[in-house]
Amino acid sequence: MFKRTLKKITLIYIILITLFLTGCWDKQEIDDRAFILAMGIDHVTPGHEGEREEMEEILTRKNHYRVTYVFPKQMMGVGEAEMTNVQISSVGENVYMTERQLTTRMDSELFLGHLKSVVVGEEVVNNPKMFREVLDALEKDPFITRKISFAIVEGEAKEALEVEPKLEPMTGQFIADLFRGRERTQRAPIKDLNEILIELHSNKTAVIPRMVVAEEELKVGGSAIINDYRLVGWLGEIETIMLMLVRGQTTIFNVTVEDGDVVIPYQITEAERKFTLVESGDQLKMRVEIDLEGDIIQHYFNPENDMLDPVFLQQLQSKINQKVHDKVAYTIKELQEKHRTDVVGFNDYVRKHHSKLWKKVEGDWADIFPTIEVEVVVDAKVRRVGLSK
Amino acid sequence: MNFNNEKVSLSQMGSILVLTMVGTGILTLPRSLAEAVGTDGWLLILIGGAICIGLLFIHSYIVKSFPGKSYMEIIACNLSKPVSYVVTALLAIYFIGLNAFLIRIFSEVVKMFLLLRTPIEVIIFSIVLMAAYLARQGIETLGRLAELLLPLILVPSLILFLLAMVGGDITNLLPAVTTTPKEILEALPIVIFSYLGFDIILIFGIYVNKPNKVIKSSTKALVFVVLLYTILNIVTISTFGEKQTTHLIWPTISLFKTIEFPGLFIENVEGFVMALWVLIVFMSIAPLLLVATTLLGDLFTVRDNKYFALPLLPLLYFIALLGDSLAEAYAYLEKFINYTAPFVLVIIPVSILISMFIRRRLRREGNTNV
Repeated sequence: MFKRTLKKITLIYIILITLFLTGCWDKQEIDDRAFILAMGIDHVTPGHEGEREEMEEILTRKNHYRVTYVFPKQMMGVGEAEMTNVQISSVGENVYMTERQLTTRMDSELFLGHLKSVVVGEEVVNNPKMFREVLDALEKDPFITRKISFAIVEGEAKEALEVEPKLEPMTGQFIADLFRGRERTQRAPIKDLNEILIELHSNKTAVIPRMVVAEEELKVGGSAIINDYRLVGWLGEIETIMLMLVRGQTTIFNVTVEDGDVVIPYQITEAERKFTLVESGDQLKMRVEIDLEGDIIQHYFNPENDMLDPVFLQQLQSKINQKVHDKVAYTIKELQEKHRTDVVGFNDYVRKHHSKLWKKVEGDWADIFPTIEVEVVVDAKVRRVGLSK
Repeated sequence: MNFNNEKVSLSQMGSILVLTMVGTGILTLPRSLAEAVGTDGWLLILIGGAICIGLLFIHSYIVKSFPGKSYMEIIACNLSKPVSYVVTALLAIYFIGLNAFLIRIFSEVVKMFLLLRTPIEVIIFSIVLMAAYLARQGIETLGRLAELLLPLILVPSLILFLLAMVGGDITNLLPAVTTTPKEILEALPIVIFSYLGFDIILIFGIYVNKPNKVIKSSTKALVFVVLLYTILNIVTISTFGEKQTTHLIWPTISLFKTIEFPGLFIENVEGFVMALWVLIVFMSIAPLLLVATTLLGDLFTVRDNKYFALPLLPLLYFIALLGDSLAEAYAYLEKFINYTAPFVLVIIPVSILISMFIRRRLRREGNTNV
């Protein structure tokens, strides 16, 4: 009898204790969360038309950030639920404050765990202090993954996010997808935040994809060159491809060569590059060897030349070599003389493979880089020519 | 099947050792190594591992030489009884302190990544309560759980390491071996402390069912951890490079944030990694608590030491909350370990060893005299 009461008491006790043990401070309904897909960060100058109340409050402060958040929201209509793209901006003295200020105007909580892309306005990158603040905001946040796409907008980030792409109404997803199309062409460096942060941590320099806003269209092409956390210039689309080739980060791109008056596209399928330090005295000399493999995609109907003729292919190959060589050499020269920024990767190469020399030149690398003599050697091979002869 | 609550098999002991060693240190190790020696972290892990294997060898030898005796009894018969009381008390303090810091760092990470609004006190209290429950069940339950959890933790971790390896650039490990011997000596404590936890063999040695084979199984466990740390360090440095690693508080967690799952059926694997890691840390906290209760049981010569598990909780809780911030908690931990660990790891075991040899020689001389 006593045993049974004891059992009952134990049972009741266990049931009661489960009531006390279930508590959830972090309970969050999924409907109450706004899943931010894209974020745009701009610098606003005082007097800019915007959220007036907040502007007055912070006019006296130094940095004015305007952060635009884009997220999908389910609108309950009659019948089926509809997803709409909501975008909302807020101004504040740093990125986090804009987030806090937004919560007073929104019914749901901002959640950055699914953030896909961040675009930054040109103005922010012109100011090293602001740019570093932005980068740290992204790196410190425990929810933002390091895999997000990151781009710099020529102009304002807000404008880029206001564009509603025809192909995919979710702007954030669309931007991320633009980056994912790495198999198509590589007119912009394909970089996620992780790679950009690593590069900035080790060299204070970076190549960041450029985003161009057109009417109802967004385009990722070219790149922004960052030196000492500051934007020093833009690189065009072709130069960017060549830069990526020299950095060993692209394997797929196209070049065209002219044979008489026929323009022949050559699709590169494999690319390998190798750096060698040729001279390491007072005058550094680097050799950049590039090995390419690829296919001829298109030629000419009933051509005069035989596509299977090794001599003809030799000719084409040497033309390809010449063209790639010229472009690569031009790009490196541009970086050396105009931007004076070593995003080519010579610094990493010297540090890793010639660490004794690196100790000597480390401090003056910014001055040494423009003086390095560069020899470019290209070896292209045509592997396939398509179905017709 | 051996159902009495006093014995564990060799493989169970090995699993306990592995899981106890791998705790919160695994989160910070790549960063502290990158700060100290740059790209040569793997070298240091191997050197530190070799030293720890040496220490572990001494520990296991002591345990092996006194089968069926608790650590306190071993000290008592080698270094006199009063010393054994003092040393056991100090050991209990050491393990309680170590455990408390472990709990603190665990709770900070959980709060940072998983439970943002849950008060840290609640996180600490719930994990400690769980650990106490396991510690009350005794060594055999612990051994079985360790044996069960080890493959469950290990297989997914290795797969994740492989996936992380894909995005890395192995040339980030260059330049190799540029650190001077002086730098290596200065950085050695970092590595040795990351292996802390193997010293529980001293206390748990009494429970092993085949004491004469304990050296082999414990060394195996340590070698395993050395390999794990080496792989982790290589993967982290090759993914992040030296500079980026020094800027991350917990590079290991950030490493898993960079993993891109093939096919994208899971977007972020951190949640999964955190779940594994909670198990790992829990299996460090529970054995350390059991060690502390065992020591206290020996100290007060009670037959059943499981009554000590619960009273220790408030103590653990308050020590865990000592530091005002994460930085301060880490600073306290470092100070605490710097003063106590050499004593526990080296001085006591070595003096026992010396006393063993002296007594053995005395006995032999005594025999020849007679």
